[in-house]
Amino acid sequence: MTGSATAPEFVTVGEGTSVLRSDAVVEGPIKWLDSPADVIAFMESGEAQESIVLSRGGTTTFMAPALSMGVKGLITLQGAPTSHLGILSREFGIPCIMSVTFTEGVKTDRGEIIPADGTIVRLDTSGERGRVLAAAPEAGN
Amino acid sequence: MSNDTAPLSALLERYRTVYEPGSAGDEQVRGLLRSGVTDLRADRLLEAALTDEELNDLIAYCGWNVWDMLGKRATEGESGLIPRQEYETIAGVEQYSSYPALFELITDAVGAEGVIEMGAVARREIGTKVNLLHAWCCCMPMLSGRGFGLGLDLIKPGDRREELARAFQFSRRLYRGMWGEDGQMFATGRSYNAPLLAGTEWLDRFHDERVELDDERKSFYTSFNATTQLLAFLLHMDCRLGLSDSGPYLMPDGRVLIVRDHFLHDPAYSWFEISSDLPHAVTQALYFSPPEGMTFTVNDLSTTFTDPPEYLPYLSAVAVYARDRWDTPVEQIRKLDEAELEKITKLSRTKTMELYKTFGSMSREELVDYGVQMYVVDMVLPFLRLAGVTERAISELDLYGRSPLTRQAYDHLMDPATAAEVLPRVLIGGCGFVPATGEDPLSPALIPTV
Repeated sequence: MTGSATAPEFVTVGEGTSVLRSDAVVEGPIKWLDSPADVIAFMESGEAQESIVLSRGGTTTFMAPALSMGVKGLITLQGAPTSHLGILSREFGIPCIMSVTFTEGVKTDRGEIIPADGTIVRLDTSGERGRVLAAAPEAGN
Repeated sequence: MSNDTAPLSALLERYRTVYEPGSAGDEQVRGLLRSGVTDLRADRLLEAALTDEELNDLIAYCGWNVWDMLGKRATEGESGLIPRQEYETIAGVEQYSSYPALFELITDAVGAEGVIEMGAVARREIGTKVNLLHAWCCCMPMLSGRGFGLGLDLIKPGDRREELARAFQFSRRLYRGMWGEDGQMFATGRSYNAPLLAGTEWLDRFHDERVELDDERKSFYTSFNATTQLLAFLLHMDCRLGLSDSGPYLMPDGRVLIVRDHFLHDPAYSWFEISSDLPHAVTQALYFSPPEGMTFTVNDLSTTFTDPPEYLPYLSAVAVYARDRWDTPVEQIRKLDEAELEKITKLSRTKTMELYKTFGSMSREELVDYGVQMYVVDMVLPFLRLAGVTERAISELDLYGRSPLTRQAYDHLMDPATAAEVLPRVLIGGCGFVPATGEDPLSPALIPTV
């Protein structure tokens, strides 16, 4: 994912609550997971460990394979750091931002705005308010 | 003050928009109680039932306590795998219906003193579900379930008043045995401290058998902790019944110890067959070397919270044990070496994926059935087993069945929109925690509408 000659420019596309505070930069292609079948297929695709996954709810079990097999980062549209998923992401040391509201992207079946699959996103969990940044389209990927 | 149409944000900030979270809220709410029911005075524990005043006080305190524990978590949103809000609400109604009789069965078998003695197991053993969380579960879900029944207009506040007044004595006795002393019933009234094993030989054994961690070992042990914890969550249908912390224990060398159980197998549930080659429980003695000012607390759900929240970087030593089956004698609890820990970690990872696929292929109704079973059975099972009355609970009281009230509530609560509306209204707004008779001790704070 680092093939371009110039570093891509990142802009904030969503904000939520950081679960695990860290200055480390976490970056990767995002994948929206909407059903257990999605989760299983993606985990078996071999791409999971390099990806940042996005789910709707803040419960643990839906994301269990992602936690167990390891992903670069987690984003949820709902939930709070004291929820089970928040607790488990901390136990696994996986950066996680919860209850993110996105301002740019595509619409889910339910009308929520999310980044399109494959968009390179960066998680900023250095503060209590976590930020999701996306590579500007013109930067190329 | 009129707060009957308070916004959700205000209800999350303070219980009924008035009462604070944490120890300040505990003090506020207890200050309004009239009976001292949350104080486990020995002279009141052997009475058959609570008085009306005590019952109302306990209901009022529990409303705040549930909000303090779960209020903010009730907003965690939907699960794409397990319909948790649906099964939690249905199970609550069943617990309101069935637990009083189950508690009577246990008390008839062992006596009131015997119930206190059961609670004391938490101060002697590790790898046991006789723990802080399960004591709380013998009290709170009955009231949540009552709240769901009220929220659906299926019951009236005064219904089952006498049964509840007796049932809560069971809970109070368990707590008295668990703490081993007079004082406040809930961890919320004890500054969120639950060092249940303090003063026992367990602490010496943990100290003698601990492994000091370098970076590589720390990664190995934190992976074990996270992987087994995840499987425990999944096996227990995304609820905390498979986990339990006690502590914090302050060590003479300045370290902080948390003792953590993860429950990985139990023959009581059909889907646990998948983990039959794992121990019933693994117990970790986790030693932390925190920076100055860092705080550790353990709440009524046997859950550790720290401030700041990142605590694993400070893990400095560990000892891990296994209880192979639920009835393995405490003397046979054994220390696990690193080869076995690695095997358990790998197996837990595999089992998690297998179980996920199983759950992913099940219908919503089947998953709700598993979830209800987990709540209703598991929250009382440790005590049924100790009293030797599990079979009677199944055959005489239909432990795995559903009461008429639960069947009546089922269709309402299987509607995700209804479950999602009722659960926060009861748990966040506290609207289900109204007195059985007479005045609400928490007046003048009005009961709001979410």
